[in-house]
Amino acid sequence: MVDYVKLGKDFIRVVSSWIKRNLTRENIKRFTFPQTTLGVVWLFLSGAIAWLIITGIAAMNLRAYLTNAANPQAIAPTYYLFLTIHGWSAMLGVVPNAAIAVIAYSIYKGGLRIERYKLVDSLFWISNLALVFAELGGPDTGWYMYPPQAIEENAVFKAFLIYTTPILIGLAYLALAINSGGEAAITAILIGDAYRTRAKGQKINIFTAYGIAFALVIALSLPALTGATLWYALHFFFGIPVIPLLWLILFWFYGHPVVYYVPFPLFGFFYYAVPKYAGRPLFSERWARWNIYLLAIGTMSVWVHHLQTFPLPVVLRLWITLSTLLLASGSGLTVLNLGLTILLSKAGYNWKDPIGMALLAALVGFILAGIQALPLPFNIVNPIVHNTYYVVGHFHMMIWTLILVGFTAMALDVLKTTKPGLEFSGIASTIMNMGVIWWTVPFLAAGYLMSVEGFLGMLRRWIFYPLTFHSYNLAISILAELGIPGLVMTLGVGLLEFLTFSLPIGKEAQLPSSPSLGGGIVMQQGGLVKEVKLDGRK
Amino acid sequence: MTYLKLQTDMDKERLLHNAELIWFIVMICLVVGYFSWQVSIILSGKNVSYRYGLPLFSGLPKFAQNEVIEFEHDPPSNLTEVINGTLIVNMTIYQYYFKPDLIVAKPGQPVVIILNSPNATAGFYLRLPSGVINVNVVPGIPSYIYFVAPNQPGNYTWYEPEYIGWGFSYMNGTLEVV
Repeated sequence: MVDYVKLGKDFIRVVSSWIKRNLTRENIKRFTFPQTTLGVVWLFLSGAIAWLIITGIAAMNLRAYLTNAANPQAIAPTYYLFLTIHGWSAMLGVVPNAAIAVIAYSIYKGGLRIERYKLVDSLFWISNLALVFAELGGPDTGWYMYPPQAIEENAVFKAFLIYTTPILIGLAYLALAINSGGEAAITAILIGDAYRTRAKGQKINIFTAYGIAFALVIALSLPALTGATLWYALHFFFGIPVIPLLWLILFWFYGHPVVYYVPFPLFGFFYYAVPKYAGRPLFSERWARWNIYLLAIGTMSVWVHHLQTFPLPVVLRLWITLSTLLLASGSGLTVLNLGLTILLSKAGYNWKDPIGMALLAALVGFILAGIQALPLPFNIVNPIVHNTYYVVGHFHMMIWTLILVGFTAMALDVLKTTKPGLEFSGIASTIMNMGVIWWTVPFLAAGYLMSVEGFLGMLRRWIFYPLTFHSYNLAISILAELGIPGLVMTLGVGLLEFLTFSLPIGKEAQLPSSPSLGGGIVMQQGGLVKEVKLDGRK
Repeated sequence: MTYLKLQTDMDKERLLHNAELIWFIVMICLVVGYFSWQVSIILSGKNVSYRYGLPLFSGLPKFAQNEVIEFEHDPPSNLTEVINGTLIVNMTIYQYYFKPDLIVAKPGQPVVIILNSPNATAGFYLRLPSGVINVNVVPGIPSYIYFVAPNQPGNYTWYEPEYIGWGFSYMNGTLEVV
């Protein structure tokens, strides 16, 4: 018989003793303004999770409204406020923070380091606080913020519910420009630091190669959003006219690549981690390296496929067939490469380890969500589903599986890297594995239901919709509610294991198992005491 | 013996490298081949799928283009006109209504809609038994829609698919086939 009272007391004791021991001014400073590469990983990881919580809370509000088919128009401003906060927090908060965390981790794992950490830390706070400022204005634009609605302020529509003067709206868009500009600058700094700290004549590992390559994609595409939002700000400050079609093209030049900001650097992590859990080398490292070119070219040039229903010339639509096929072949090759690594494992893939399980779930989710996306770029098929929940279902499945579950796998690996020697206990591993399945299955089901109702004609952003779709929306909302505890369980138990893990006093932990690592961490009972410089690394 | 083993290992490595390279090149060739084939059939006029159905003037069938030119030369005050059997409608989208919001067509009648939206990036979404019409329109640039009215008489509802503000999900109009 389990004594739940004792268990609860133990839990509170562990947490409170950890807080007492670790929540010192020095530790808070070290966490909020880190001076090590791994510290930067933690900072952005935490930023991504904080925005994820806001994204999720806003999403659950939306889903609650959508259980009613006949919402009155009076609730529309509130609904679209949550919708915009959901979208901005996800695309301007979670995604860039998570991507930078993965890139920084790839730099760490490749034996390189971040040197200009003060600049990176400052830009982290500036860009995230700028986004907070913009969201505090009560945006109602949807995350696309299409013109001219997004610069409208009159009786029929207000772009912001709280910022209602031209100066304040202009400042909100300027804050968004600072947000994306700051994040683009961080990726440029990381590329520069990685280049400066690389070992001469030595090939960088596959994880780092992906991290750096896609940092470059971010550094090149994110400024398009900076330009687009700055254009809005200039409209409010100086009356500069906004040309809608040109603005849309500028926005989508960023808006498509952004969906790959996390997945593609994560592919590098998959190439690094899947072989470990498969107990064999990657099936083809050459494919993985050549693939970088296909994926980078594809991500940068597929923006037109979001504008298939817009009045754009035929030649651009033709171009999109080529660029999308390049992207699809690169993605297919990734699946083939990782799939063969798992299937040809003689020792058997270790899916019982929570990281192994999360990697597998993310890969399966990527395949299922990817198959569903295949018809989307084709000119004659796209209008059937454009602006419907089919598309919403597709990209949410990608986010729920490949991005969030894949990111969870990396977060768990960060825990183990931070405290070398940490192994998740048997019971913890079981709970964490259950959590991954608990999250993935309902969300995959929700994604497919979204796609079915979209194919049948449920338009995205509708709050007043035909009764036919009521049962679909009810089921999707329930499935989403059901799935949430899964990821909380996995990350929560992982974090608890991390916080309660300790080595005997004075014992030095083993070095992290990445190639060419030169850093060590000395553990004292219950906590990280100091990071030791070896080979000049911090 | 060691030398022979080394040779075999090197051969294996070379074979593997070639196999990886060959598959990568084959994959790229498939993509480029498919793309080239698409370009050739579009340029030769064998494939019109890239043009037909697009919200462009050039996406309209040739006869409809001529009728639109005639319509725009002398636009009627009631926004609709039948020219050579084709129903032409000059539609404008406002926040939050379509003008006109009723189109009356005969079964099997060709229909052209000239879509305008002065205040918002908007759209038009209509599900017919023969397929879905889903186009966007931006301020300052009209979009063009062509379809054939269903043979089955009845009412068919169109919607606003783009978020143009708080009231967009309440917007609709009716195609009445009689």
